Formats: sequence, C-alpha cells, structure tokens
Amino acid sequence: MEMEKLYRMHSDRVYSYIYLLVRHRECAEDLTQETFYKAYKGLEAFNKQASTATWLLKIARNVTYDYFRRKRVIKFFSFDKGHDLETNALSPESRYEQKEQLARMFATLSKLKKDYQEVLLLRKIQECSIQETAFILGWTEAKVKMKMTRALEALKKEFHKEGGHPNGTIKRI
Amino acid sequence: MEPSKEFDELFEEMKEVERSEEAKRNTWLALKGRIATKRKRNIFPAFISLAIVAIATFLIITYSIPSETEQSAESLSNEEIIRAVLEREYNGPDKEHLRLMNDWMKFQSERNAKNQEEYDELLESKEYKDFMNYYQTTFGEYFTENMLTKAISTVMVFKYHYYLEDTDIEMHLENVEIKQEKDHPNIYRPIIEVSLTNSQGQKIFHTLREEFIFSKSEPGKIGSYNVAKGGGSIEFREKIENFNSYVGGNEDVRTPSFRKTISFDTLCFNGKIFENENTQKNIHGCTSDRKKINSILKIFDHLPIKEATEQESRKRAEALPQMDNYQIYLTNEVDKGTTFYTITLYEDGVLMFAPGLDLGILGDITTAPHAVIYEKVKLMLDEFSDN
Repeated sequence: MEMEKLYRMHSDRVYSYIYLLVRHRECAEDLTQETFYKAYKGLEAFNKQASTATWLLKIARNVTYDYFRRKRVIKFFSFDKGHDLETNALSPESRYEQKEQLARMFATLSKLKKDYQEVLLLRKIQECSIQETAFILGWTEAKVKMKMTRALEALKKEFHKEGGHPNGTIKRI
Repeated sequence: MEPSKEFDELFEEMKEVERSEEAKRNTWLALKGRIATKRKRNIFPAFISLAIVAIATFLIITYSIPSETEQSAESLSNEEIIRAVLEREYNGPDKEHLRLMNDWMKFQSERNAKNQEEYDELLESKEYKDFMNYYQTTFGEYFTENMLTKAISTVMVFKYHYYLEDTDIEMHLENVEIKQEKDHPNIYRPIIEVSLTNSQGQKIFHTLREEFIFSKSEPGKIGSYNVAKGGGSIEFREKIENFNSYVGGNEDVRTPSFRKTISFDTLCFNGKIFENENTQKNIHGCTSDRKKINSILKIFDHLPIKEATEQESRKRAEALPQMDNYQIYLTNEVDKGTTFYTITLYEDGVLMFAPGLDLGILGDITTAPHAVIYEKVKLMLDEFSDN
C-alpha cells in the first residue's frame, strides 16, 4: 500500500494513540511521523499477521517507548496545562464539569500500574480487540483478558477514592 | 454498575483527540521528505523491485551480448563468483555506474514529482530502467534475485563508488583471501585488501572483511552478502573521504629492498600460535628451495614501508608476546647461526622489516595492516614446517 494512502487512512488513529501516551501535541506529531517512517522501512517485511492498523499501533507503541526511554520517563495520561479538550460546543458550566471530570479520569489513570494503563488505552479508547491488543503488547489473549478485568477494578477503586463520579456529574468534595 | 460499563462515557470522550489539519499535513510533508531522501540514498524503493527485475531481465535477454571475456556464472566455483563480485565492487570508480546514477538523479530533480503517482511515473522512465539494468548486467548472474534487489536497495553493491566521484582517487582490489566456514560450507568470509591511489601516485591500503552466503535453493548464487561486523567498512569510507590525511607524511615511504642488498640461500622461520588463552604452539622450519623462497619474498616487494617510530616499535614489542606472529629469518645453509635479515609478521597484519637478527621491534614497518598477506604467508610457511 502506498505511503500517502496509508498515512491518510491511519495517521489520526496513530496520532491519538501516541497523544494519549505523551500528552504533547508537537511530540505526538513527531512520533507519528517516526511511526510512519518506520512503517515505510518495514513495509516489505510486514507479513499481514495483523491488520495494518494494529501493526501501525504496535510500531507506534515501540516508537513511543523508545522516546520515553530516551527521556528516561514513562508517564502516561498526565493532565498538564498543555492539555486542551474540544469543549467549545458546551455551555461554560458544562465545559467546566466536563473538563474537571476528564481531568479526574486522566489523573486516576495515571496512578494505575503501567500495564493497566496500556490495556485500558488499547481496549477502551483505541477499541482494539483482545487479539489485536495481545499482538500490540506482545501478551497472550488470556493475559489481556485478565489484565483488563483487574485494570477496570483498579480504575473504579482509584477513581472513587479521587472523588469522581463517572456518570457525568461531579461529586464535590 | 459493572466496572466495564461504568467509565464508557468518559472513555468515549477520551477518544476525541483534536488534531489540526495543518499539523497533519505538515507531518505528512516532513515524512514525505524523509522517504524521498531515503529513496535517493537507497537508489530505488524495494517494493517495486520485482517489476524492475523482470523488466531488466527481459531487456538483458533481448539486447545484451556477452563479451568474449565474460563467463557464465554457472561454470564458476563459489570462490570464483566471490572474486568476480569483489573485482566489480573494489575496482573503480565505475564511471558507467556513476553516469547512469547521475542521469537518474538529474531526471528526478527536473521532474520534481509531487506525489506518489508522479514518482511512480518516473520509475517507468528510460533513465531509471537503464540505471537498474546496469545492476542486473553487472551482478545479476552472481546473486539470487532477492539478494540483488536487497543489494541495490541497501547499497551493498557499488557501495564506495559514489564516494570516489569527483576525486582523483582510484580504488583497486589488491588481494583476496577466501575462508570457507568448516561447519557451514555455504558461508565464505573473505579478507579483502584494497588500495586507494591518487593521481600523484600516492597509495594507501585498507583491509576489509565481508561475508557471502550461497543459496541452498539456487546453488551457485549468492543468497546473502554482508559487511562483517567491525569489517573495516566505515574506516574505508573515512579513508576515501580524507585521503590526504592518510597519505600525509608519506615522504619516507618506500618498498623493501633487502633482496637486492643481501646474499642468502636459506629462509627459516619461527612461529608462535595461541591455541587458546593459555596454550601457545611454537612452530619452525627452514627451506633452501629457491622457488619457495622467492614466491614468499616477492609478496613483500611492493609493500609500502617506512621507518618505525619509537612509539610504533614499543607497541610492536608489547604485541610480540601477546599475538600470533611469524618471524622469517634470511640466512645461509652452512651457517644458520648468522641472520642477515628478519621479517616479522603479526596476526593483525602489520609487518616489520629489519636487518640482522631482530625480534621485530626495530627497523621498518608497513604503512597499513595487510591481514591477507599474513594469512597467505602463514600458509606458505606451514608447508615446510618441521612440526
């Protein structure tokens, strides 16, 4: 498949995956570029053992991990000042609530074990199947299932400890 | 609420990651630039290789008439095939290759393809096909189809010729010592000695190590061609690009002249070989066979040597008890106690020449290592070894 088409079809998904890991737009663009460049170099060796999107996500994960290793930090889901959400369509009050709720969610996720974060990101946000998640993370499907269950339990426990209320309203502390 | 459903709404919101069209486009343009650079460096993208090879094969069969000197690879031994490849690889620059490459580069610059479709059209051009055909006619009979494709895309063939363009340096294959793997007879690891000479006749040498693996499915074809790790490839490029630095101070360089100045009829040697870290084997032998002596000594006739500096002598003195080495003594049959001249060959390819009985730490030293010569002379001495 030619690169331009590949990029057009998959770059948004790759970008969003990387963005949720690094939480920095320029950095996410750079890593997206790196991901597709690596894909270009490895296109010949791609043996279709996974879908193209899954294969790209696996490369993206490796590229991002390399980046983290270089930076000597692994910190997913941080909700920093640079974070901005598409909330313009909401009323000011709803926007505030929305943002706070999401901020709480990001904060909660960032406190989970790294493998819980990873499995939640792929399964719940990237909508990868168990099989795809297993391919990307290099786990067995059974491990994905087990980690997913534990990750959701840990998320629930941590989120409520943080004072969040996941149904959309904010539990004021 | 089930934990799996409880957060779905928030997860749903997290999926919405904003990305501006401008940033997306800029990333694509940057990526495209990198890909184009890589294509230029790698000459042609691997994914169109099959089509190109097919076209090239067709054109070769249709138009090329082998010259009288050309020999079919089918009748060559594996070693001859390796030598044939190395002859093309290490004699140059190949001006025809550079001309075709420049034509193709110029053509690309003039057309300035803006997208993949336009670039694909360029690949149908005469310039591109001529360029690809040249690889096929030069190396096609020695490599498997896959290996040739890989060799082109990874610039494993004609890898140094580009660097010789716009210089007055010529590259020449001097010696090749081919070693076949005992346990894996399809694998050959040649030691290659190459020289670089400029228009003023200044010459430097370099030793490279490469690996050839012959295909099992296509006997007589190279299925894998690799630069050995630490094989001297980077250093060789460095020598080409900074030739003048390497020939600097060569005023005192000369070739050994002892054969003209001393009279002797016997050649003896002592060799020290480390069988493992703790055990060494000492071997020795003598010959008065003039033919054998001449065939050994003439190997040294054209080696560039210079007077060893104090530092070089010290380094060699330290190496002597630690490294495999052979010392050749020139003497007379009737009085072997008198040595007229000593040549010391170190395993790393450095050779030292000294009058009289010398342990090899004084006198002249080669300007570069000659690992091929060490291996070659070692074999010749072993022929008349006493033990």
